[in-house]
Amino acid sequence: MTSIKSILVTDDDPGILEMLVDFLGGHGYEVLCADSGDAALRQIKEHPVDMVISDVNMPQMDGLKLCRRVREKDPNIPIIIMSGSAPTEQYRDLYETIGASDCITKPFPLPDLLQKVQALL
Amino acid sequence: MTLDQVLAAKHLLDDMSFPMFVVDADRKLRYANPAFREFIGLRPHEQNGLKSCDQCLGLSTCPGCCFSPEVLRTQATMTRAEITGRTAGGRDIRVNLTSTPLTDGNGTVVATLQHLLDVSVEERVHRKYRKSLEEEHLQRIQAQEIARELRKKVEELEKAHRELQELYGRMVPMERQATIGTMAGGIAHEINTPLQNIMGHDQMIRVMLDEIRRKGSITPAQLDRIEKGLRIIDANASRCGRISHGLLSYVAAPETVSGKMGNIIPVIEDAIRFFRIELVNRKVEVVREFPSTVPEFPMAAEMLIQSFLNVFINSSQAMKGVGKIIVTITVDTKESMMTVRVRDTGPGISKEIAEKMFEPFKTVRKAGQGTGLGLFLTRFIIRRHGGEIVHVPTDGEVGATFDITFPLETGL
Repeated sequence: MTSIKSILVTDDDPGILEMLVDFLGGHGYEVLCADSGDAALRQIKEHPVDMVISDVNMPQMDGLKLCRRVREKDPNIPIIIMSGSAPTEQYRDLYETIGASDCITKPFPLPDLLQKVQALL
Repeated sequence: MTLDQVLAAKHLLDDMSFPMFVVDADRKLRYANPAFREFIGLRPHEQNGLKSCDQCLGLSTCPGCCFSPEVLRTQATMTRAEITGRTAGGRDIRVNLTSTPLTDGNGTVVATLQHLLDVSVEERVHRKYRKSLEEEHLQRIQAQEIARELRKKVEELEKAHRELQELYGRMVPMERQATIGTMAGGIAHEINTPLQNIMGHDQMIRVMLDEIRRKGSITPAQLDRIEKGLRIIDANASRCGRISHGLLSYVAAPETVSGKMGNIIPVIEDAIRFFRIELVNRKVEVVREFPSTVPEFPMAAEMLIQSFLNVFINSSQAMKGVGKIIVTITVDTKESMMTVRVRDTGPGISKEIAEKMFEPFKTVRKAGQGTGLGLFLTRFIIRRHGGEIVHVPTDGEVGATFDITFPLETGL
């Protein structure tokens, strides 16, 4: 029997957070959310998670910095980056360099994200 | 004139500065004035008994004129011009020798009064004078030519200036087209988050509707969730509409400033939004220091968005994409001025670049990275609003600072 996996979702858009909390929660995950990179780091410190999904463009600490910080602390945790820009090779390389496990480009169908989450957890 | 009259007036001839002498019909020298004696090197007592032709006045060629048959025949004054010779002092000369017939009481020519004009001296003076005259004339011609050239150059410059002004006017829309590329990236990014909201919440609602259909009943929680999802979809669809409207109005912006009043804060916010692709791809943070309200002034908002976008793009590129852009708005009600200060944490602007950066085609970017017109057109647009953009020297402090001022009350 597998325990419930926890996912921290980070996005500065409340609509996106709400959507992902409901959607991933509906698929049996425990979903925590943060509206900034700093808030996400605090959350992780208090409550370790099994996965981090983060938007790139956020005020103060952006998703890329957050990804790097999370990766420094945990070399194995899966991280999915949500990007508003086209998923060019250049970006894919960048996400890999900073230690992201996968990336997905907005707007994406929710099942696509679920597929990536399930593949990593 | 009679010989007697002349000899009686000898004292007058003595004072003459040019050589004069009188020869009688026997060609005997009857009188020589001091100037003549000096001319031929003759002492006073030596003149008695001299014949003009013996000495021929020291001239190498005897002109034979002093008592020529011609003078006797015509009884008129005659001049032999340009007789060459050498003076007692050994100087080569040319003289004009003029012979005036002198008569006795009966009207018979009995002597001639000769006077010499040293044309070699006169010529030298004349030559010198002519030379300076010619030089003066030449200089005058040259001056006229230079003036003509200058006028031509001024006309050419004025023409070039007019053409440039026209070109700049045409470049405003061109530059706008160029910045649309940057904006399109920003807009695509900007629009993807609301699209994600629309798409995601739509899918959530569909899943829920399927469940409701399957069960044949709806719970209050499901109803709430559907309502909330629709609200989010609606809000995000509006957001997409605003963004596309912003781009369209920017593209179709008028080139002239109308009297329509506008608020600078949404203008700056729009510029930041269009600039967002830079913020995302790089690490540029925009800090806003705005008062809660600002006075409105007549503006072409779309043109101003382009101006601010240009300033932001410059700052971001100068900072190599890492740093802060601090935008501060201050209102000076006393002076009726509003100032938007844009500071960055980049390397700053050297004096050399600061002097030239508002000139067209002065770019520090690599080829292809900019048109070299950004700040130039920014100033062009701000000046159309009666405002001004200046670079504020930071005296060794970090970063570049631009002050963009707008008059608040004056019309355009």
